[in-house]
Amino acid sequence: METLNAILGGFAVAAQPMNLFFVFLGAVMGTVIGMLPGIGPAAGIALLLPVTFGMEPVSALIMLAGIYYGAMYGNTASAILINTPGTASAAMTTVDGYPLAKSGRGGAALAIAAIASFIAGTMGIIILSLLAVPFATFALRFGPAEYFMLMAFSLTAVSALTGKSPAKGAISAVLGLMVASIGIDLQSGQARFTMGIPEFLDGVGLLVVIVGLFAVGECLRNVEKWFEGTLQPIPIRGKLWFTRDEWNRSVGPITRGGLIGFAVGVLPGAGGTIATILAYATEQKLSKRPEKFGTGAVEGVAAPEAANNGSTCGAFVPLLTLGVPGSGVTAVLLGAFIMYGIQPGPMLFQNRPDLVWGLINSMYIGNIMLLVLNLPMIPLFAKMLYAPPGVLLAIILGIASVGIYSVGGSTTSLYVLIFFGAAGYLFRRLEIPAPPLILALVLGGIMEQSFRQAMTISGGNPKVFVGSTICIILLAMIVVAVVMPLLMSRLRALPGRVAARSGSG
Amino acid sequence: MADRWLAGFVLALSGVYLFATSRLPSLEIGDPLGPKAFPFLIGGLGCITAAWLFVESLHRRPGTPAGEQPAARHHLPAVIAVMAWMFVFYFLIERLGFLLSCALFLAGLTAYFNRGRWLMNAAVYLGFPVGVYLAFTQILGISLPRGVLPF
Repeated sequence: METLNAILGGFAVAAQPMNLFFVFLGAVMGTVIGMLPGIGPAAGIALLLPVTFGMEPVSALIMLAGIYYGAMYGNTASAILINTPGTASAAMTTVDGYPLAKSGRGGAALAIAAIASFIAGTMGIIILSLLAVPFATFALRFGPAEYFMLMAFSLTAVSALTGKSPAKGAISAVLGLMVASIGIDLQSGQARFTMGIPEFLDGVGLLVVIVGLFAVGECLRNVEKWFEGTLQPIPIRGKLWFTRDEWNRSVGPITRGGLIGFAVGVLPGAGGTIATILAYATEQKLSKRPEKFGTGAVEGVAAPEAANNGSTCGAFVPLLTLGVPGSGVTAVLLGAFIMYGIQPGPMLFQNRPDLVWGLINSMYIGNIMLLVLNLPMIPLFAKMLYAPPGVLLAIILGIASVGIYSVGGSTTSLYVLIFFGAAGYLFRRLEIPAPPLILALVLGGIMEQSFRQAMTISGGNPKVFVGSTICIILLAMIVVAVVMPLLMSRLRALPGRVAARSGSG
Repeated sequence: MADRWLAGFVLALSGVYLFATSRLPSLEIGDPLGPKAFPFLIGGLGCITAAWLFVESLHRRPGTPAGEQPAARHHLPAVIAVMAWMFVFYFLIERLGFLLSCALFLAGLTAYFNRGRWLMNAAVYLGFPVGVYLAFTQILGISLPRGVLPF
C-alpha cells in the first residue's frame, strides 16, 4: 500500500509541467545524440551535466535518463540509413536495417523500430517498477563486505564483457581505480598521488574524464575518419509505416527481445550490445525462414531494437536499488546522482520515494513522447545525418571545452581534458574499452571505503569477504564473470556471422 | 605486438604507482589499514592485468587480427594538430576571453575540416560562441572569461 502511494506520488512528480518539459528535452536530445555516430549517451550525458547544476535534481535526473533511453531510439536511424550504428547497441540493427533501407523499406524499418522500442521500453518500466522494491529490500541486508563484493563483481563483469579482450578490460578498470585514488584520502586526510597539482587534492573530476575519454577521444578518432570521406544517408522512401504481414512477424520478436533485453540489462557488464546480439540470435533460431536474416528481415530489426530498450530499463534496477551501476552509461548517471548529493541505493526508496518514482514514472511519459517524436519526425531528425562532419566535430569540441571550464573553473581542468582526450583516442586505437575505467572511477572511492569498513569490523581479517552466503555467491559470480569470456571465445571460434562488436558507450 | 608494449607500459605504471604508494606517509589513526593498503591492492592488480595481457597476446595467433579490420587508417599528425589547437584555445581562453578564443578555435577547425563552405562556417564560429556565452551568463548564471572584450 505504501509502495502504491509512492508510485502514484511519482506520477504527480513526473507530471509537473516543468518535469514534462525536461522529459521532452531529454527525449529530443537523446534522439539526436543517439543518432549521431561518434557521440553516445555516456558522452551526451556528461556534456550536459554542467548545465544541470542549477536545476532541481529530480528534473535533472529525469532529463538525463531521457537522454539515455532516447538515444536507444535515435541510434536506429543512422544504423538503418547509413549502415553505421549511432551507438554500439544499434550494431545489430544495421544487419537487417540497412538492407531494408536499400530495398526501399527504410520507412517500415524505422517505424517498426520505433514501435518495438516503445513496447519494450514500456514493458521494461513495468518490470522495473515491480522489481525495484523487492531488490531494494533485499539490498538492505548488505553490509560493507557484501557491498565491496558486489562492486567488485560489477567491475569484473564490465571489464570482462565489454570489448574483445578481457585483459584490456581489466587494465581499463585498474587505470580507473588508480585515477580514483588520486586526491585526499577521506579517512586519514592523507593526500595521495596528486603529483603536486593542487586541483587534484579534490580528486580528478569525473566529468573531465568522461568527456575526455568519450567525447574528445571520439572526436580525435573522427579526425582520422574524416580523411576517409563520409557515407551519404539513404533517403527514406515510402510511407513511414509497415504492412500487416511485417507487423505479424515482429510481434513475437518484440516481446521476446524486450524480455531478453531487460534480463541482460540487469546483469552488470552485459548491457545493450550483448542483449541485442542474444535477441537477434534467438529470433534467427526460432524463425521459419532464418536464411532471410541479414538480407532485410524486419524481425531482425524489431528484436534488437526491443532488446536495447529493454536493457536500458533493466540497467536502472541495480543502479537505483543497489546504487551500483553495471555499465558505462549508468556509471555516468551514478556520477550525476553523487554530484547532486544523492546516493542511490536501498535507502533512497525510503528517503526519497518522490525522486525515485518520479524518475521511473517519467520514463512512461518519455517513451510516449519518443514514439510520437520518432514516427512522424524521424525524416526531419535524419537530416542531421547530412550535417557536415567537420562542423559536428568543431561543435562537440566546443561544447566539451565550455562544459569542463564552467565546472572546473580553471584552465587546469581543460589541460586535463586534453590528456584524457588523448587517452580516449589511444584506447580506441588499442581497442581498450573505456566503460570499465569510468565504472572504476565512480566506484573506486566507495569500494575503498567499504573495504576499509569491512576490515575494521572484522579486526583486519580478510575472511570477512567470504563471511556470508551473499559474499560467497558474489565471489562465485566474480569467478564466472572471469571465466565466461574464455568460454565465449571458444564458442566464437566456431563459424558464425554474429560477431560481438565492441562499443564505447 | 602493440599489446605487448601495452602490457609493458601497464607493468611500469603499476610499478611507479606501487613505489609512490610505499612513499606515502602512514598515519594509522582510526582504521587499521591506513591510506596505503587499498592502493597496494590496486598496484598489485595492475601487475596481474599486465601479465594477463601478455599471456593473451601469446595465445593470439600471429597474422590474424583480433576481430574486425581497423575501420580507418591512422592520421596521427592530424590528431596531434587538433590537440595542439585545443591547447592554443585553452591557453587563450582567459587571456583573450571566451568569445574571441572560441571563435578562433572553431574558425580554425571548420576552415580545415569543412573547407570552402565559408558562410556555414562563419555561422558556426560566430553563432556558437555568442549563443553559448549568452546562455551561460544570462540564463544559467555561470560566468565565462570576458577577456579583452568590454562585455
